[in-house]
Amino acid sequence: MAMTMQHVSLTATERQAAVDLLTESAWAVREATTDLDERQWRFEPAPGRWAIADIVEHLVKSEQAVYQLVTEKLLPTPARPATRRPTLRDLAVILAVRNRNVRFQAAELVRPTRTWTMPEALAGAFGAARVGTVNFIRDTTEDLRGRIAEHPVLGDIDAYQWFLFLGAHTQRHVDQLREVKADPAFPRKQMRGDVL
Amino acid sequence: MANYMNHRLSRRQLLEVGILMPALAGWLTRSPQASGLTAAERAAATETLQRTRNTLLAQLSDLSPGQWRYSPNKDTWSAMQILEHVVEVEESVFTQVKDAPGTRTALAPDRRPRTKDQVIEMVVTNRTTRRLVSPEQYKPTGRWPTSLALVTAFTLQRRSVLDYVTTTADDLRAFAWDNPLIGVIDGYQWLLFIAGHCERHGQQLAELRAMPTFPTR
Repeated sequence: MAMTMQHVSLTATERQAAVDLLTESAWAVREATTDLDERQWRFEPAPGRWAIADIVEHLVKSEQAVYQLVTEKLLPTPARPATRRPTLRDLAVILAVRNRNVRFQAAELVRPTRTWTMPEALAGAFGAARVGTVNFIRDTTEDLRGRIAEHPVLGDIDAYQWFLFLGAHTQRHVDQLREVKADPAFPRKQMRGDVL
Repeated sequence: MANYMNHRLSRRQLLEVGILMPALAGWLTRSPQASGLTAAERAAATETLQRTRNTLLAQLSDLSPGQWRYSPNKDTWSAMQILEHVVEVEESVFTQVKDAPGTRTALAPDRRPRTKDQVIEMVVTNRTTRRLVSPEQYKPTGRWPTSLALVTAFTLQRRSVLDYVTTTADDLRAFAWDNPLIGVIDGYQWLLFIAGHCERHGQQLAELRAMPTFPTR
């Protein structure tokens, strides 16, 4: 009889925690980008600093990159035994990623390139991608804890933690987005009748 | 067959005998054959341990006795309580680090934690995402009678850690144990934890000082 790895799905608590984090952070993006006009989407708080459109494009790319990493690269590989798994705690992943006192340059793969024509479509693209992520995490019976990939900032984390990263990363950029909106030079929404 | 009476002293023995100047000792421990910390690791740990010490001391240097002991409510520590907690944690962690090579099993390279060093600071200095409560054994109890005694204890303790970082030949990457917040991290990362934890409480101190009710003198 062949030896088989013990198959381990997420616990209900793990699953709910990830779904909640991913759902809440998606709502935060939606709430922060509702009703922005073109000038507001494109406003740069300083030369070279990301506009809201850049932030959301980055979120779309990150969502796609992580989803593909897990589903196309990690899941086809065999799960690792418990003794070969990352030691970083779930809460630590979230605390680390949410901490904006430490800053990083985005990896090439997920850097915004302004290839869109309508910035407001970015929010829709993010929302659609996030729905796919949430559905996956809600329904999967795969052993996510047994699949590991090195994160460029954090080091080794498991596939479940990659989804925690995704949610916390979204929150991190919502904080950044809100700062852009709070900038004194942030354009006021254009109203009909405004003289420009 | 090797002649043991004539064998050359190992690098470790030279260091222990203290024949070499500390700078030369540092150069030797950089060699690829040595299993201790690299020069870059020592420099990074030294920088963060010094910077966080200086930042914390700057928050405390001009406090009056009333300001040292001010606490707005029973759930918020005074400056004196904050510093006592920092020293208690640092003493405990530093002891664990020094004891590790003698009390723990060295881990093979492929069995060591693969969390990146920068994560330590990122986790520990985040005071906004979730409120954390100190473990019971590290809660301040008024161990030092005066702020002067406490500040002296802090600076001496930090001096010991800095000296250790500069001179130790211990292979700190080979020993790892659990940090309740971060997970299993290695001995070097525990040193970074000392610095990050100090920075965390420096932020707390800045918040305390900024309160409208903080005594003006």
